[in-house]
Amino acid sequence: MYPAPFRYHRPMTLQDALLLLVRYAPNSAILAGGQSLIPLMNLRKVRPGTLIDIGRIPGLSRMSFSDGVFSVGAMVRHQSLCEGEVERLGLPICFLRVLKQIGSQIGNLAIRHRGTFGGSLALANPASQWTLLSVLLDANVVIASTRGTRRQRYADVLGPPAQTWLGPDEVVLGADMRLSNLNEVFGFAQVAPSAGRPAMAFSLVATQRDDDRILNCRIAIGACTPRPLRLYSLENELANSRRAWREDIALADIIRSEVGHLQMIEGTDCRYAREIAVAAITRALKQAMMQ
Amino acid sequence: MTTEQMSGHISFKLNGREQIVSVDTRTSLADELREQCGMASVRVGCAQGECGTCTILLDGMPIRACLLLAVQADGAHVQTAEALSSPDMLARIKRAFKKHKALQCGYCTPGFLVLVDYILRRALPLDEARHVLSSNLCRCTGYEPIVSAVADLLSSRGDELGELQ
Repeated sequence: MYPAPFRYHRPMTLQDALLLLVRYAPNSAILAGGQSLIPLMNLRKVRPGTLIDIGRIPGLSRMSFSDGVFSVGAMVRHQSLCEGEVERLGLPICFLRVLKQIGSQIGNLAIRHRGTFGGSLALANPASQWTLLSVLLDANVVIASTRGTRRQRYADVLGPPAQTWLGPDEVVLGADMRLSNLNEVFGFAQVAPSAGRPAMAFSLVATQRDDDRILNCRIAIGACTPRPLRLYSLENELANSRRAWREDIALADIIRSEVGHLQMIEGTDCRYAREIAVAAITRALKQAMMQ
Repeated sequence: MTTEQMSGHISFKLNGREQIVSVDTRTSLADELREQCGMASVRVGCAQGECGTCTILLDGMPIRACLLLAVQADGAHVQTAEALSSPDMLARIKRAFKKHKALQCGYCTPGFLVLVDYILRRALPLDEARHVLSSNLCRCTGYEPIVSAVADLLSSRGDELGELQ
């Protein structure tokens, strides 16, 4: 399987990359890890005339944690968020654990060694784990073009399913995520047909609790919805009721009634997708409460 | 490489030897290694990154050679199943695969050898090793013998396997 012919550029500086983008937009594509783009090109579902490989631009693989802000560069590989340097940044232990758990669910080891964080955000596939994380933590993405560098809430960058409002001359440089409360505990659950297959639903939860009572929480759901979403009314419901985790049958009912309003991704059996969503949220919440 | 043409020259280290080759931009590393460099262990299964048959080491890490353009490997260190971390290591893995009958048709085997090399270098616990092995598909569904071979390799570490040949 060969992709349609294309020109290949490997700029060594960001400035060169941005100029190339202007020169070849809109018939160009940015090549980061290539683990989503190359399969699409092999199937000729996309046929960019020019590929701009940002893999050798220095500085895009950095990550840091300071003043409660976790910054991840666009070229940070999925696997780099699961092991190695990330463990030495001083991230809260519970967050680090869930980060590894989320990352290890992406594709498979070989894919995780190439695929990138920034690529996931820019492609905005509904089943991308990093989009879920970015929505839960209300990440700000750093976006560059020849017009300058700007920051925008990731939730505002997301467009229709698997699309963003990024311009054809723009490139994602990374994202900043604020871990506002270091006492938060996290839970993540993914439902997928088998290892390495895309998720049918996943949920990420951050809560503050007092023993087994939920004081406040943030809940995000994705993969089964056209884009990852925060479930604000469920969050308020759970926080206001100061509900104890033990009442988990009642909890599943509350979750079910909230999920009932959600629009599910096109082409799925909505009732089934909602049940999977309830399972994912319940498991994620349970994991957070059992920490 | 920056090119207005659809082809160009790249150089990379293949199993320890410097290679300079001319490639089309749209050639995958898997095709380049198999067709031009004579590395018969690199087999393209799905060209979608699903099956893992083309798994190789790029700078020591397992990756899908079908999802990497050959031009992206410029300057990298590439290892195929022909030459894993050491001849000893490869021989040990082969012996364990033979002992446990961890191959049937053999098409997926080179990809698994690469994963096993990675597992052994890192001395992963068996549950993590299983997770790594889940990266690749065996259409003969011979997963259990492969896991047994890996469990054997991880538990022996020493020379027991050497004595079994």
